[in-house]
Amino acid sequence: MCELTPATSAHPSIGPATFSALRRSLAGIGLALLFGGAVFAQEPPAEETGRDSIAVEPATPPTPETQPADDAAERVYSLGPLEYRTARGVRFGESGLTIGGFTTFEIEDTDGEPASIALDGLNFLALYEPVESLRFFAELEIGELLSWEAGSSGVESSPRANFERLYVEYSASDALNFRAGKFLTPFGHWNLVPAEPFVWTATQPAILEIGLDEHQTGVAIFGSFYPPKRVINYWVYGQVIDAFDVESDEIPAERTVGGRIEYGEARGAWSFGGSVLGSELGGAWTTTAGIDAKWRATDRLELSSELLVSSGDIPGRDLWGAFIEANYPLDRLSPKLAKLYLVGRVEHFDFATERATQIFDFGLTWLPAPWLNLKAGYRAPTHSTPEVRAGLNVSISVLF
Amino acid sequence: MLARGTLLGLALAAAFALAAPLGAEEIVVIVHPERAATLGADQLAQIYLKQRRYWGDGERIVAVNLESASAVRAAFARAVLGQSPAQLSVYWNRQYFLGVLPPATLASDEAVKQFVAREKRAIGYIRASALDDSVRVAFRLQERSPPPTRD
Repeated sequence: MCELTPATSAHPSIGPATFSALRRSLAGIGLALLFGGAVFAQEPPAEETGRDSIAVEPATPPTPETQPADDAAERVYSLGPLEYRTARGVRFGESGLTIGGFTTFEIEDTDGEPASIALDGLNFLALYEPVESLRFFAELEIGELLSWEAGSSGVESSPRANFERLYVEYSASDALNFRAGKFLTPFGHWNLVPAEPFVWTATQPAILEIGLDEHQTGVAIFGSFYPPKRVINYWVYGQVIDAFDVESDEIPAERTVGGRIEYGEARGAWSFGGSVLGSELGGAWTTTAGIDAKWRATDRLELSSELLVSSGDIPGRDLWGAFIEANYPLDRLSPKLAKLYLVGRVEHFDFATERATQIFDFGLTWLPAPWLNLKAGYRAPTHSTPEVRAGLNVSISVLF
Repeated sequence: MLARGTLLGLALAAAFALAAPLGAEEIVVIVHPERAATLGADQLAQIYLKQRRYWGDGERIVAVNLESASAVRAAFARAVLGQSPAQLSVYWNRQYFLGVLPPATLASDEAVKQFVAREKRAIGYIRASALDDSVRVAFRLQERSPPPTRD
């Protein structure tokens, strides 16, 4: 058997969440962060200075490939300075630029709507790291590429492009990072990575789809501290300018201020988080608060849950909801079911203008390769609303 | 009822046995000889999950992996990262969405050792049999007999 043993004595060196309330909470978080650096000292494996860049010595010692492998199914294709790795994009030599992305093909057959097939989005991811501490990131979505509805005369196409994310980031340390631009709202854990290929279900929780501004255009400070056996992540952010590149069906807040703190096991086996967000629209304010939790067992069940409560003066934003989601690898039942997962989510959604709804999402997710994600699920709400319809949802996502 | 330690022992034994047919080969985590790093398993996992990016002196950590098909890498990932290959694949896909790419790869123990020996910010892992004085051991994944079971 194998046991983990530090070569020397090895332990992290550590010493030890109405708008006014929100502001007090944020002030508290801010103070905690200001002093956090002193309380949660970084584990210092070493104190020394070193080189600022990897010296590429032409002859012998090998230099690591700057784009890495993470799965045995990975493929690498090179053309001159260009190197493409499956599901990890193409790297442009040593320029620091990597471009990749993903696309999703969707089939929907829900109550009250004609069945549809759509190539809904082609998303390009661009990462540029000119120096170690500075990086530029963009996600450009080309949406509504192709769609067909049952009963329609033909295939429709009305492509539109918008930046889902566009920001610059400066990293001073693990504990202190700065971001400016358009980014995903760091509220709960779902909204951190909400895109179709990276979630377990073909639908997203209603409470997040309806109750939360997905994006912020502004600034954020975030980082991590490392108490023994644990990790503490924090975000403080605000929308300081008008929302950038808003989609036509969105009415985003004009100004926001928010924060999130997450406490978890060092290797991510479990975590608990709390988030707050104050949003202003046309002079009216709404406060949104949430808690979340995740738990993962190696090769077994994964559970995640979020609760969100929103209250205030902005019309249509008094609501609350909670969900718990699970996925279970079926290869534990039979090797023939390798990479097939049983997924399910139960959600309570209470929208002020509607009856409260219980929503049940169940389905299968198949991950035959790192670059391919196939999901089929059925949504069964206790009653359908325009936002939440019963029916079948299928998606096929490809990472490139 | 099995004792908790027994269960842990069995789990680690099974993980190692499933992950790599390495026999009794020990895996060592290596750093540059001038780096007085003292690493814990959690720190190591955070480094290889790209959650911890800086050494204590503020230098950026340059972690290197063995190739994806490497049995040593599979054993290392299973034992240190605490996730199955499938879970890691999902993890790195999510990181890809966030613009974070996994640690770089080198082809062999020798390549990792040579790189770590000349790059002060580097960290890697190799078989113990490939170890020499050009690098310093910061962590060991040791072979040990499983604890006795009892009812």
